[in-house]
Amino acid sequence: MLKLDSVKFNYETQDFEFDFDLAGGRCMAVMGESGSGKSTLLNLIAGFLTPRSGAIYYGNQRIDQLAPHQRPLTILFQEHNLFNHLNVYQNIGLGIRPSLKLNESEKQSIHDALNKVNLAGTENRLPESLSGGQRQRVAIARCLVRSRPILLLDEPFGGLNEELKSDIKVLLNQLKKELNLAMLWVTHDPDDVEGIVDEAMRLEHGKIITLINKCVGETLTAPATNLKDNPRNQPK
Amino acid sequence: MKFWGWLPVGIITSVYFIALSGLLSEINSNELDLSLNHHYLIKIIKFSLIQAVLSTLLSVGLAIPVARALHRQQFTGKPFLLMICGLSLVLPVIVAILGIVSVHGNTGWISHLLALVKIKANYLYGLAGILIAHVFFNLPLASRIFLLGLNTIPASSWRLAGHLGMNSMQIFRFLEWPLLRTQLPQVAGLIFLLCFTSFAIVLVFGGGLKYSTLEVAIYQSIRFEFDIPRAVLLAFIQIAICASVFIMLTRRSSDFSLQNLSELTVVRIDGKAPKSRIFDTFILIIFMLWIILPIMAIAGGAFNLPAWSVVNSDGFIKAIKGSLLISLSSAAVASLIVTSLCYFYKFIGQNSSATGLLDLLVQLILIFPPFVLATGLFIILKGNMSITGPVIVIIVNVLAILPFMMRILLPAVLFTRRYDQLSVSLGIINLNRFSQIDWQIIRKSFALAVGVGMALSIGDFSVIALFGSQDFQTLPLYLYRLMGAYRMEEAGVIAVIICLLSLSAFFISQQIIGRNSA
Repeated sequence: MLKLDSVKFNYETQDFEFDFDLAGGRCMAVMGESGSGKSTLLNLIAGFLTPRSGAIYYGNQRIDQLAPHQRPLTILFQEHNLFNHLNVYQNIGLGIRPSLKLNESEKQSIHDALNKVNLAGTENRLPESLSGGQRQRVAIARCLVRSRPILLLDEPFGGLNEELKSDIKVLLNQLKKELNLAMLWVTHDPDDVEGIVDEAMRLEHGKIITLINKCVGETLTAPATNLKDNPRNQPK
Repeated sequence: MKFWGWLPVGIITSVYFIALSGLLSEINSNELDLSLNHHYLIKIIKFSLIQAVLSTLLSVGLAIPVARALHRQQFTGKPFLLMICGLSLVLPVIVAILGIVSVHGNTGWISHLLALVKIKANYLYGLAGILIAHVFFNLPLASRIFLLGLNTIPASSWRLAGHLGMNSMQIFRFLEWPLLRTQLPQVAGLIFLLCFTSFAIVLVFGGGLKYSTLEVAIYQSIRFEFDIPRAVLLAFIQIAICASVFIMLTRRSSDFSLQNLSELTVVRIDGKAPKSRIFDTFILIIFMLWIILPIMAIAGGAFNLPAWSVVNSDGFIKAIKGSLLISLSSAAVASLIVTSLCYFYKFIGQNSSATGLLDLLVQLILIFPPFVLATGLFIILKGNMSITGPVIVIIVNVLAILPFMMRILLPAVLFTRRYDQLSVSLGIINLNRFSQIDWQIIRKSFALAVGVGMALSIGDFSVIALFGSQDFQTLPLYLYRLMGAYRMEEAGVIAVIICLLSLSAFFISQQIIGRNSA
């Protein structure tokens, strides 16, 4: 379980405060205007920013003092998820070992992961020869081989069309269940997370103003309607 | 990271600091002669300014019709002409001088031609020669920059101009001139600085009291009179003038680069009018002859077979050894410094005043007379001339090629920023980060930077003129000495060798460092 215990941070004149927890196998949507603190929240959990006070736990382990790559999490960024000069195999392999010195079972896991995201056979291709949706699936394959229990997603659908979105969403939903992932998903569009999301929060001026927390097993079917009561939440 | 960034900054700063302290110590012990002939000083400043202003006006003024003609006319030889244009930009100065002498000199091609109609041509020395050489280098430079500017005018504007029936004059007034005007201060300022600090050209074609610039006067006061106070005074005047032009330039910064020469996608209707055709053809033929004749003269030197015996001479062996020593060590040292500087730049990237200072430090050499720097270093280092000489030449060379190498490498290093978060989140750090990610991204630019650095060092003819001796010389100095001895055929062979060496340095570095691993 991911737990943020009164994590405080300030940037210029803006104060941020986060306090919530998220169980494995659950997906939490994070919404809010730009500047409301969505990215700050992800950066604090990922370790790109350091909290002023408070603590972040995974289970009983405190993780906010670990280096970003030592934390039990993996990130799907909006863009630049792949190194353009490296092929698909290398891009995934770097997620296992930054020196790319892999043993046989690790090499096999790359092929397995590619199978899982329906990209078998693309090992030697460069990212520029793939479509936007394929590139995001390669990034998801890397999340797979990393097998970390927390997955942070930062607007992972930037620039993708509806059909590709739903393909990837099906994939992510499957992973969430199989690997019991705790997913924290930043998005500006409630439709993006429909069908996969279990919980949702709305941020405003660095604080959580709405937190919808459904019981385990009961999926939040339409966060859109639940969050749309605030007129400023309309997708732009 | 911080340490590795501060190290080169410290090294560069201390080089300037050591040089300055050396110069100041000489001035203290040697009462500055204030009775220094005012006439002499004013004369030199005046001539430096006049030749630079005239060179700038001629280059920029002629570049406008040339760029226009290149932009609106399509012809088969155009890519070739643009290539020749680029070639003239990278030609070592001393090599180009030889080419210009072969064409315009007293026994050159043009005087032979004029002799047929019984006209005696003797115009190359003095102000005319200086202007010819400066325009040879700067007209193609300005034309290329203007052409790039014209290429940015959108196709819709040309369609509109055609639709409204604008004539050539109106197109110039409403479309071209507004664009060229934004480039003009930068281009003119750059060319003014290049001509104002020009050394080899003025040394060969000018000389004497009448046609001397500050840069040459500095060299002469050190080399022949060892009058350090005078050299320092002249240097400060030069730095003051350059710095003020430099500051004016940076205030109106609109960045242009010399790359990405894109082809015109719309054919301009105004190029088709007979009057424009005749005018453009005339301009382009003159322009082509202007550039291609000296280059042909240089290339022609290769076919003078008996003159190749010069490669057996003792002087040549020493010169090529000296050139290889200087260029290889300068490029090696400079590539280490430039890499750590670029990473330091990336590291402090958020702080614009710090990056501004870093820029200034790297570019200082462009306005700081190299002879003064070298002399200051020599006063402090002293020691055995056969060791100190090459060391100082290498130090000054490294500083001189840094700004060019940095311009090439920096964009690639800054590009790696986009992978910062991803790399950190995957734990790709330190050596892994450099070998897996950054090196793969920057290696092509790095190879290009090393190649350019080496090529520039091979063709360099500045402080070597001060420190060269019988035992220590480089190919450009050897070429200069052969020219001084009127051994033009042998000089022609050396010029070809310098060009071949620069080219191979350029290509070999790309092959070894820059080739794709995949």
